[in-house]
Amino acid sequence: MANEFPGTRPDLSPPPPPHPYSPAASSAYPASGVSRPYSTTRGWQEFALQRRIAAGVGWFGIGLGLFELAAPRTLARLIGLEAPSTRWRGARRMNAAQLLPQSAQGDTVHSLIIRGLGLREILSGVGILARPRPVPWLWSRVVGDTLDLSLLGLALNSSRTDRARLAAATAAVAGVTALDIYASVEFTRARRARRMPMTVTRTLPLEATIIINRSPEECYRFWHDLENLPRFMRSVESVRVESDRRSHWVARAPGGIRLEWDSEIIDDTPDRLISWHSLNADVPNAGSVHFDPAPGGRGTLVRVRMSHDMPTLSGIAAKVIGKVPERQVREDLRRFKQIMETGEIPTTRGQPSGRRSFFARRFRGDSAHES
Amino acid sequence: MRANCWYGAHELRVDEVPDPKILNPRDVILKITSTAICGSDLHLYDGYIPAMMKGDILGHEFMGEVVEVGRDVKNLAVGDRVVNPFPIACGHCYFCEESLFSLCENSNPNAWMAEKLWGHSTAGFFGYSHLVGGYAGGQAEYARVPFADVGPIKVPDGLTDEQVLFLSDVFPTGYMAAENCSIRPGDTVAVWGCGPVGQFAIKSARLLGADRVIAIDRYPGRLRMAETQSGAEALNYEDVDVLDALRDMTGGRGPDACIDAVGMEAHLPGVVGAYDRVKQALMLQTDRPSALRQAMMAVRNGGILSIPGVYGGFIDKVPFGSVMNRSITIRTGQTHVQRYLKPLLERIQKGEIDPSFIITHRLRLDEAAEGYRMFRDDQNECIKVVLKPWETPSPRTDEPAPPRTQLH
Repeated sequence: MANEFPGTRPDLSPPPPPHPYSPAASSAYPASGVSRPYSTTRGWQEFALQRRIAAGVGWFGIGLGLFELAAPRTLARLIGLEAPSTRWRGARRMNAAQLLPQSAQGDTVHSLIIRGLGLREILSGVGILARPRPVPWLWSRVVGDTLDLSLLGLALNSSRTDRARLAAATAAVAGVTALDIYASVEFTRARRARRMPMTVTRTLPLEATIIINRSPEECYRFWHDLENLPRFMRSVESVRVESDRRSHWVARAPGGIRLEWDSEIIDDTPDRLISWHSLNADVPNAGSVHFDPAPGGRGTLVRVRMSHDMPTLSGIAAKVIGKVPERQVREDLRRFKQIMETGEIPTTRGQPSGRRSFFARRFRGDSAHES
Repeated sequence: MRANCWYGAHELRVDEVPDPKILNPRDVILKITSTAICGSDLHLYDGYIPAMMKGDILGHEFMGEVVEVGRDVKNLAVGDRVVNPFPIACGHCYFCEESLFSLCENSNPNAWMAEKLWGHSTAGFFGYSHLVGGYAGGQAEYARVPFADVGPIKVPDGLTDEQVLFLSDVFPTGYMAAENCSIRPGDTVAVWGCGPVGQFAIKSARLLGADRVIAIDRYPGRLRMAETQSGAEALNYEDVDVLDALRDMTGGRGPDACIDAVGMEAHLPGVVGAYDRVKQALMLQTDRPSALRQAMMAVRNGGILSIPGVYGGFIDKVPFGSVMNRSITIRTGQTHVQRYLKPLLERIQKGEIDPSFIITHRLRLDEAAEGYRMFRDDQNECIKVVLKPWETPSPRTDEPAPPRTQLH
């Protein structure tokens, strides 16, 4: 798992060269010089400071949380939740505890609230310190701080409390909140900064081949009718040919993300080669498919070379599409072969079965059993 | 329709399921008139196969009548009576053109799974786990047959179901095992395992001209069938040391060819996640490839080892030095049934063989679970079980039912 604390593992790898399979490596992609929110000239010391702040608030949270867990009453008195001479018991009109159903033992309710807050502090602290993803945990501290502040605000309205102490406590919490917000924002930005250069310039090259017991001419002809492609490319929903060279593609990425783009054929050698690149695509892609006679007259060696660029904007899409592996292309090619050789794609979808397990019914959807 | 469904080890149930439909242009739907339980079905029954799913319909030996024809099937018509081969083959890929039908490149929709385990995939097979396609099997009232223009063969009038049913698997499997032995006049062939495949291997070795066939098993009933049906010499490995006996019987040289028709009871194909389980299970069953080891050691120098027995994954302690140093040829593979349908049907028509001799039990489809149990536990008496999906249950009376068992 990557360590997301900025600077702890400086990325020393050189920028990747233009992808060799891309037939138009110089022009097919948007320039990779996308502005980086974080310039690399920013000193490592500064990152170190952020790390120290994050670690500090983490440990602080754990310490405070333990205190809250162990001695809620003492803490309540310390921050002025309880006026020195007053006991919780019997108090009619008070403070934050009114938010909860009033129990016979008011102090227990207060202790419970404080213990709960303590648990939250510890959880966030551990999350921050344990890494590898401190950012959500840092933000969870900000949320917790907000909760603390609102509870303190409620308490300040109560007459049964020590206003001076409460005010001091509120100020302290506000200070911690500011620190938390700073750390969260910086880390979030730093994290994006680390991810973006990687995704913008990173291409996923892949190559897949298959031998088809048909002539290169037949394979080329079928492929060249781009509207045939969704028949065997499982993630492609439709291809609309708009002109000799231009076509419009709609695909569904895993997770149901819909992608649309235009594609342009840049090399078209009858019976031998088609190559393309995308225009205005969220996932810029380029590739080629070669149809070579297989040795010994054994049909056609089909070779697909492709590269996808990671999306620059959507972190989720990057993750999902980054996993689109060679396997998918290989399976697409297998289906291409099946269509070319047999005229159909063998399947068992829709065949009968006995009662499937819950898992199979829910996630595979291949049961035809309806009773 | 009713179908024999798998729900786990030793959990079979004949359930009401939807009727199969034509899914592809080259499909047909068969109304099953006869189907059989194969020895390899017992591996499913025993739950050794991880790529099974609850609800899978079993059965890969079946025949019946065409009731529905896909639009691209030109050689079959509604009403045709056909036997269906267990491998599904497209007929147009490199391997189909080479007559290696059980290696069809196109018929296994889950080829990637098999590639993980075996490096490359086989064809798809009926009712035999999702590793080889997950196709619904034929122990049912109806079955869908893909690539039906390549697989099923029409049965001439005048032949009974029982005479031709075993063209679907065990007869060609035994025959290919014998054919793989490249038998010449004067040859001695030893066959390990006298189940249905072994019986047909013995019979086929005879048909192909072997002088002597030595049958090895431990069930007297099965050995007796080999003796009476095919004139084999029987060796009970519980009574004699097989290697010594074979040496003695062949003047010290060893049989010219050995056939392992046993295979590995622990037939364990699997997916990557099951790899460790497979390995562990094999470690627990180190005696399982014993027939194969014996056959390797027994065969004469330069002889042929033919393996129709099913192996799934990995085997241990195989004396490969014996194979290499003594110039042994190994021939094996899932049967390319389509290749044998016509020639073997002709042999049946000519009366050279009547494959129905192996049948010991005839049951209704709803008695399938009992059939499996008998086939597994009563191996001496039970050699082949045939199921009749459309036989109506006889009304229950107090009179004892006529005996179903006809032991040869």
